[in-house]
Amino acid sequence: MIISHLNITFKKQTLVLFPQKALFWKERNLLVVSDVHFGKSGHFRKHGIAIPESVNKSNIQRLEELLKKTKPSSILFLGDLFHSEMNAETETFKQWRKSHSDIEMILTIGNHDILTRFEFEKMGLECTNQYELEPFIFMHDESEATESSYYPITGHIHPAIKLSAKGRQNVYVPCFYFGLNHCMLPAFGTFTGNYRIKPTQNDLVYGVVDDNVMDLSSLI
Amino acid sequence: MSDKGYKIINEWFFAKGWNIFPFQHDVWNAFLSGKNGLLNAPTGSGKTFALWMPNLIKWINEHPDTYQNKTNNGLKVLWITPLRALAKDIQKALQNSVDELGIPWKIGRRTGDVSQSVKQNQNRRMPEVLITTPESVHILLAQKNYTRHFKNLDAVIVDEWHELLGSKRGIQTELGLSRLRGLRPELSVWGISATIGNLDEALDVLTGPEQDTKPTIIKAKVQKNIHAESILPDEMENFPWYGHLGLKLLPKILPIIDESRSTLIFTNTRAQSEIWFQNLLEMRPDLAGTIAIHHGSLDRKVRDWVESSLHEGVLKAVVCTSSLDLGVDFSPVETVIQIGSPKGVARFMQRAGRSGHQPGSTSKIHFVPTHALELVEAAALRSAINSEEMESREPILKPYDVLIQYLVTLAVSDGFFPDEIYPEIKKTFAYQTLSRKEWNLILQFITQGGKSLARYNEYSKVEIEENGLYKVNSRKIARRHRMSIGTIASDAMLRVKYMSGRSLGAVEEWFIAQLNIGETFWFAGRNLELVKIKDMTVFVKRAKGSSSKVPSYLGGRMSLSSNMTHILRKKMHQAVQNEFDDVELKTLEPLFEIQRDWSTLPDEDQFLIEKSFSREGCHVFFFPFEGRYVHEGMSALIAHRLSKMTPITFSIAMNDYGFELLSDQDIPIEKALSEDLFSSNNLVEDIMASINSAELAKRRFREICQIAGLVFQGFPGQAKTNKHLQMSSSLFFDVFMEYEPDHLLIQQAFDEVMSIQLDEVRLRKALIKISEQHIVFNLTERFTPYAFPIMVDRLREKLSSEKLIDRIQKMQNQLEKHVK
Repeated sequence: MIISHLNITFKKQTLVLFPQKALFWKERNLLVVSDVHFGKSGHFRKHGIAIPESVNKSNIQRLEELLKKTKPSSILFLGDLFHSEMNAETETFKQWRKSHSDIEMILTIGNHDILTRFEFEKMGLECTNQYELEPFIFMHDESEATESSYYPITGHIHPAIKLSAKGRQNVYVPCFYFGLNHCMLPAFGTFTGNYRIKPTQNDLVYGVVDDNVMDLSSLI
Repeated sequence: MSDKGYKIINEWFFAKGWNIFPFQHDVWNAFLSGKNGLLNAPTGSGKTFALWMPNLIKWINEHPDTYQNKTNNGLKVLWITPLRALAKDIQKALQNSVDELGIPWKIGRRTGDVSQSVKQNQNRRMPEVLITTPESVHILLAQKNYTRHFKNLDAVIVDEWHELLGSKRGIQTELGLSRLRGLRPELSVWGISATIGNLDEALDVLTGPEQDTKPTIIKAKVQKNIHAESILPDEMENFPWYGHLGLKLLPKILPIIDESRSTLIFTNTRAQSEIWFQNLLEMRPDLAGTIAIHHGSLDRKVRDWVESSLHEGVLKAVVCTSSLDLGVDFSPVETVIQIGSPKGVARFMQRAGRSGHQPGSTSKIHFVPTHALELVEAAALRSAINSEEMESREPILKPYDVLIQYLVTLAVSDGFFPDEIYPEIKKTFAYQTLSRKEWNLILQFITQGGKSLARYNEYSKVEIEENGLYKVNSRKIARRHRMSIGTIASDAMLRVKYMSGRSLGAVEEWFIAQLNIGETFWFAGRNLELVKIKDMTVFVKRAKGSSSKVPSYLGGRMSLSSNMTHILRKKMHQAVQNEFDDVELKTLEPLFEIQRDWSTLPDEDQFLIEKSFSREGCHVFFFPFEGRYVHEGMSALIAHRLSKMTPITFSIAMNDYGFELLSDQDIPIEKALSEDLFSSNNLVEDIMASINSAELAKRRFREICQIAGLVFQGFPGQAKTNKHLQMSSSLFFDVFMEYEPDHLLIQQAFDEVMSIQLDEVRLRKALIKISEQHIVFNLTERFTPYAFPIMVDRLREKLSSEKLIDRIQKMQNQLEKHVK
């Protein structure tokens, strides 16, 4: 199947929305990825719940695809990069990080990121609570206080919307959400759930449908 | 029998003025001659003493001079009951008998609601008799050094075995018994069961298929008179064609309540019981204080109060669910009212039997239909009672999830050696066909996580020690496992409490999630206002005024038994023939006329299909009259076959009479009928393909996930800290389907859909019958009385052969058309 991304212009910036559930900001050459939850499957296994390892590998694979496509100078992880403490899967991430030492990587800390800043920095991740880059401010959770006047781009929620049609048909689709006051990105991680949001009329919503990103704003 | 034990017990019966029934004698003889067996007897027939007394006779005979002095004898008898509410009454009866006989035995109880300190005392010193549930037996097996508890065990009695058989709790019982037999090869095992269609099989499941001495079935042959009567609407014209609440007929049951000393009102769901209770009070405020509500989500204390008040006869009526199907004898109950279809003959008779409990008296039951067609079921039920056609309870075969849970249980306590446990498991009915290969896969799953040779990274649940012992060493995993022993899958529940701390019960998390602080809802027969939610507890206060929200619970969507569908079709035939001997059918005559007018009133040799269009799209209705479960499979199958002809998306609804396919586009049913739509060829392949897309397997997987320990509900009161380990079973399903589609538990989910949910055998029979029927196809202008109740059902299955992207584009196109 043809994998196709979608270019949108927002606040006079070019944003590319990828069906791999990531956002690329062209002017700044910045790739934004939210809620990867690396090591989640390993965390479950450690606690006696059997999840196949291939789950984690698919995260790395999709990151690689995105790097090939966008060749970013920086990657911004929008929080919940890791699910819990260190495990073998987070080791895999460290290796992957090393193999791209030329790319700057930044993490805005999320509620699941329980490692210390020192540990994140040791693996080559720049840590911050909020990351400002005009006209946007990036953070994990939009409910965090901010004094910035910039438009917040956030993760945390794992947004999805419900579409209804004739014949009593409903489908749930993970989505990129651009509201009046903030933006929410879909969760990148394979092994993560979704939370249904209810957008209002003037919100922009782009759904990840199979291997495409579609503008669904008209269906709200 | 002339031995001392028998003499003493005989005298005790005589002194009490009781007769020993012949069946009790038979059981005593069989038991004492070392046989295992099954007693077929209804509640209130003296079944408890039939199986209790031989234990005492044996004890006295073994210790003729010291039977009144020997204390600390260790656990001798294990009494397993499906319902903890029953445990107390049995405990009392048994304790009284030994006290009066001067036997210094202690009768203990060990269920979920027994306090920790009592359990710890038991751990130090077991009573001679322990009354318990299948789950609690497994929790005992999960204790360190558990074998010490059972070294004196002589007998296991399984009460109400028919309630356990056919469920995964039954499997749990089989596995528990297999271990106890392994420890005590001479163990006596007896079951007590109400009448079911497959008593012989029930015995086999209990004792295992291969027994050295042939086990025996003893029947109590207690006659029970049942008088069943339907509550009929005055005017059929105003009676609804659909619905499930039945409130329309509420005024008609008020005189019944007034006339009897005490009445039990059975509903099919907890939500329905709340709504009925609320409406009863509104219509008759003078009943306040004399009526009560009883269902499984209420706090134990509340339920205990209702039960004891019923027993004492101080309550005029109790609205309840299956929570009062079993259990304690409520002698003051004179009348039973059943709201809505009970779906099976056995359940109807069981409920009827809750009234007129004394031997020889007549049980009275009134049937209240919730919609018009249910009256046919009422007529069918009455015929069934007369012919005593009881349903069978089909045992479940080889579920991997319960076995996985059991093996981890053993690994949590003292560890196990596979070579010792495998033969024990092979001797159970459920796992008699478990192959070495399957066994090895299961061992691999609990030790390595997956079927592949490569061990899952960092996975360790059960570890293999140097001597080959399978053991759980992590204390965290052990603790979590002990907390989640059991086979009843449940949603995350939140406790409901007053601000003062008094507990009312529990509601599903998703229901509370829809409410905001300050909103009111109806629960435990009270109107409550949500104050705050903290640490998995919902704090509430009494609210004024009325509210409309009632926690609804899925469930209660059971299928008519094949027994019932058979009689139902006979009644339908009578209607076609204008034989209105039954008053219910007579009442329905106008409705049958409309059906005949607008479409066809199908006879036994006809298969009716109706097609109509509405704003929602194209509807096609099929009426096999085979019960919900068969329709579930058949609808998925038919939808799948149609979807192979053209890309199309269906939403599917069904009830016990038929099913509906609804699509946004025209359904090419005419063309499909000219081809072989109902063929039973390729049945298995087509069903497998259809359940794949219809998400049936996903639903089955939910229960399997919980039992096999993949989904963890959290410790009581601290669920929050375990959020990082919570994941929905549907996500597990997706992950396994994508990365390990041949996973053991995925296989089980599909097997269960085939064998339990869809009942492949019944489905195949139904298809063959259709092929012999004459298909009547009608285009209808309006939804007919048969179609209407299905059409309004909002809970639907989905099946699609369209690509998601095409579907969404279509939605967009539809919208554009609309705008233009």
